[in-house]
Amino acid sequence: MEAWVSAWGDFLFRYAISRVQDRDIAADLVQETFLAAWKGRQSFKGEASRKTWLTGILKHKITDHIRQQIRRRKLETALDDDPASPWFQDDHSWREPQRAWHDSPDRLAHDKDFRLALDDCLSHLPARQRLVFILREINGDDSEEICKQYDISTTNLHVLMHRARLALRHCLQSHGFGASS
Amino acid sequence: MNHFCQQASRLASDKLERRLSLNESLRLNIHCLICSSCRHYTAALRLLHVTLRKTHEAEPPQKLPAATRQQIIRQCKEQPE
Repeated sequence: MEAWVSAWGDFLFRYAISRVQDRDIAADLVQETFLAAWKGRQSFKGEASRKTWLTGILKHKITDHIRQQIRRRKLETALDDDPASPWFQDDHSWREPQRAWHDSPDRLAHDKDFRLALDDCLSHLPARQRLVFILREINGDDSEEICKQYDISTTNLHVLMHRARLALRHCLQSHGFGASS
Repeated sequence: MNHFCQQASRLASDKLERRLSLNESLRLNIHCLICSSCRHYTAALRLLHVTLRKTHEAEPPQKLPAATRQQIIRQCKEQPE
């Protein structure tokens, strides 16, 4: 087991953090993964690599965790809400004029203030929107895989991304990013 | 008369998710020529899109905490063979 933890512990931890955005929860999920793998080590047939096998177990643990979180917060209906209304008027024009955002991705990606603002803005998104957005836009996961794993249609995925982008754009602007006229 | 802005904002997002149809692409581009808000919003989404991918790459490597490592090893040793 020491060999497994030292070979794949950091990799699995990083994988979990990128999906749950919380170090403590990520550490717990990795711990559960190793424990489950150890208990089921006889069933490992060696068809996939050990790393792929462990990642598969972790993926299930993460999915269960997110589903529990969504159930607990009763956010299933979040998908049906229409948060477009804060940004648009009845005639579908912008409520506030949109401002130009002149900046460089390289500079922003290394800007600590931007990271803090981004984390704050992401934390205000509804759970499912946040999860899908992080997987797709930050981790660059495949759409089909996300839809399959979280049981949503491609159209729902696009709606969630659209709503997350609207909310993030306005939240980042309130933090001073892209707020110049 | 309804404006096209709300629909344009959806197309600007979809453009990062899928290939827009020729019709959708034309409608978005022509609208952006006359609407500075939608032009700015579309450009902002593109900037955010590229930045977020770079943010992920710029993250410092995270290490599994030592206490968790020890706990995993201890718990596995406690399991019956």
